[in-house]
Amino acid sequence: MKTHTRVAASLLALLCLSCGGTERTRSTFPLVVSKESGALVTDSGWTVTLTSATASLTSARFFSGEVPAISRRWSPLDLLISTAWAHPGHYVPGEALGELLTPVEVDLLAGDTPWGTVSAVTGRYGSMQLTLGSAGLRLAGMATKDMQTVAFDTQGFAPAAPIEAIAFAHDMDASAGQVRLAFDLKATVSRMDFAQVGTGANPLDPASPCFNGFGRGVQDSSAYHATWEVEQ
Amino acid sequence: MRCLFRLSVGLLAGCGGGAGSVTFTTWGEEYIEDRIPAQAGAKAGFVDGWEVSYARFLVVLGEVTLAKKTGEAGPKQTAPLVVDLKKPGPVELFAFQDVPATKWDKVSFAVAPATSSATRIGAIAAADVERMKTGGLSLFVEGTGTKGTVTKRFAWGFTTNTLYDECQNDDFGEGVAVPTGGNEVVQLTIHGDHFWYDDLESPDARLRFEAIAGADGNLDGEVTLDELAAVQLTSLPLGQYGTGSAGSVKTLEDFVTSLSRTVGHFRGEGECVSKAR
Repeated sequence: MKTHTRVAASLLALLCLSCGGTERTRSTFPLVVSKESGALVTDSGWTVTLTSATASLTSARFFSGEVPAISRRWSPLDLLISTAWAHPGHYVPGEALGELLTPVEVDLLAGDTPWGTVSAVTGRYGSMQLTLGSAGLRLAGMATKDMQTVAFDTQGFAPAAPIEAIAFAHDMDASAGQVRLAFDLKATVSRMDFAQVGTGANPLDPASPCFNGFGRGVQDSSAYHATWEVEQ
Repeated sequence: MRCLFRLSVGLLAGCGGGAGSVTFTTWGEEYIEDRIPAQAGAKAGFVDGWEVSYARFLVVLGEVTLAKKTGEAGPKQTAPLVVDLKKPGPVELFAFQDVPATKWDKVSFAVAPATSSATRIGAIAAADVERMKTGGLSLFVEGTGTKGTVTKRFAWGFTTNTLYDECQNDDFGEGVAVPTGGNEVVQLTIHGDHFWYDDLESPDARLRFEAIAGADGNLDGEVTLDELAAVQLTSLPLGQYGTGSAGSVKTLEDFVTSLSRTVGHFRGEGECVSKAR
């Protein structure tokens, strides 16, 4: 069964349950897309200035399962964060709680972009899943380091599988508000080393380590921040 | 059958308010005692044709705790225990005696750096215990990867400190049910194949050794942690060594260190919540 069919079936089942007197009730909320602010500096010391940043998104799904964190390096946050089952691949999405299936093209440099309305149910949310369209995420601009400047265009990259386990811990009730999905492009570009662009940076050689770093950044679920914003 | 077993243990544990005992063992299963083979047909193993044999698999287990999610504390074992899982097992670690006969649904244990008070358990060389103490190691794995005529050695020590909490198993449920007048055996199972997964979170993670073998930069036949640290994940195929939400994992050393926090399991295939400390 395809993922969207499973999600739809789960949502239907949850809605049916809610008819029987459980705590879950039907809900909707807006989803808005943006990017985090701040300077983009890669691990290898390149400062990136973007002239274009576009994302092709096809679906967002919300689940009850919380995000694993076993593999992060130790940090003081580890004392605060309950973590994962001790096994690779054991991020368990859990119950499907909401979905938005309307494709959208987003200009990440243009500010907030309303994506649409999520069909959902109330309950404890733990994570979301994001599917990129075939055009994927594309970044273009300049990277500078030690008086060297590299003009680049990544071309579009879309992971073969949805980006899973984007953290979204929230008790969803009937309160008015919206979910903000913010692209953390600093995390996206962090692995890119513009000294290793293979046959070229504009367009970026897809066989180069720099493109590999870009692809890993796109697949990094910590590069997407999902938060609930209460309506003022 | 499983449900009947669980029900009967639960009923026994719930009757009379008496006491029982719990014996803890550990085992590294065939993957550590024997080898991890190359995948062959439906038989699981390395997908890239390598096989791995351990010569030593030293682990420091401790802080085994029985408790309840309601907050009630049970017995706690504190002394670090050093075991070589390459030796035939399972190995008995210790036993809690006179434990209230009830369901302890919050069981945890740690794989933590050895201290000077660490105690050797089972057949383990004194020098290996000393190695763990002096290095402050929680895990030490030594062995070889082999493919055809090529062999690569590895000997890696880890100082990671990991609490395996809220352990559960599909067959036994959460934690352990202590029967009145009886003894329940609980195995802290160590999975030796986890070091070789090619993804930190994907359910489709596979066992690979090719990239590890390729990290032998000086071609001396031994792959060190320093050599793994020199391999950026961006030099490996995009479909391999995915890090999921662990954005700070950038090198193969980071990767295997992260995997070292996943070896602890509960009563076979059971799992725990892994907490880095």
